[in-house]
Amino acid sequence: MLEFEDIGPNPGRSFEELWYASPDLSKSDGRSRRPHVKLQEEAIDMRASRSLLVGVLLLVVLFSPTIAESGAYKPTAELMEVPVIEVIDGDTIRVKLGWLEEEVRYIGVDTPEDSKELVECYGPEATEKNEELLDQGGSGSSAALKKGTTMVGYWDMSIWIPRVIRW
Amino acid sequence: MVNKELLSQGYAILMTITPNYKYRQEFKELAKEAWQQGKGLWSACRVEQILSPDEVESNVEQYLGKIVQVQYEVARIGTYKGMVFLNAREDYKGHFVAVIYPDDLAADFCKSGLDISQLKGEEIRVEGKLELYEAADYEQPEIVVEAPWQVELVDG
Repeated sequence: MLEFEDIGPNPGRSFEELWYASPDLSKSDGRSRRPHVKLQEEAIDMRASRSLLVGVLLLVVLFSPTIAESGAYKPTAELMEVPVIEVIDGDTIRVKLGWLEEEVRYIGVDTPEDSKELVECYGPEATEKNEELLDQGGSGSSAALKKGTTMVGYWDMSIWIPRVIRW
Repeated sequence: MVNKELLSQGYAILMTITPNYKYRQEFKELAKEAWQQGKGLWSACRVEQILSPDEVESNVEQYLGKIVQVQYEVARIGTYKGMVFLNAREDYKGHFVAVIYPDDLAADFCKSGLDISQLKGEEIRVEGKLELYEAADYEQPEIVVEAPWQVELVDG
């Protein structure tokens, strides 16, 4: 019988779990049903160090005179507009944050894989659609990004939600 | 919002990762509509034939990444850290499973009228993207259930 009391607030799936679930580490506990969950503590450690780095990184971005003068980067409380450099797949883009480039993963959705390693059904279509949506404003789109709370790419960046704005 | 367009036009499935809850209910509605209307991948990647766990397990390569409907009697309900597994076999390792993450359970299933704790021995049909879960010593096909509409109780 199930005990629903057990089902409460939980770390859930995080990108740390997905990305740091290396087979070697999971072998350390053969009984583990979900090895990546066991890696949570380690993932948090890694996140802490990365948070620091990214904190510094964001400060640099925020106070950079180059960006402020260019007008391309307009931070508001939550929303900022940044140029899209590249569409990586259906749910991932690369954007320019000042002189830095960062990968941004859309929250809440998952498009089929479309990478060198794996192409899933509808993966290429999703990539194309993403490009099309971002290009609606004409060539050289920018995305308005909204800060979220989990990590993106291999950095502990926030998740941002893009919407299309004419660049 | 690009996220919403991708969902409502059937280019993406749901994936809610803690703690990004803000748009979750909205996103779930969009995904449900896209599924009902057979938009995008919900038609293009859908296997019309209803499959048994055996058929899935012996043709994993063929069905991986596709939207499949798997019908089976729940042999075991497993829990681990709040996750719920609707297993197709008592000996669950290496066999098809529907996985429900705790956030989704808490948010939706408890109030959807589908009492998951009562599903043992019941015939259900689960629809979703077929993925391969790789554990240290085995791998198995699974569907991650993000919303109650993916699980249907089959009569008789």
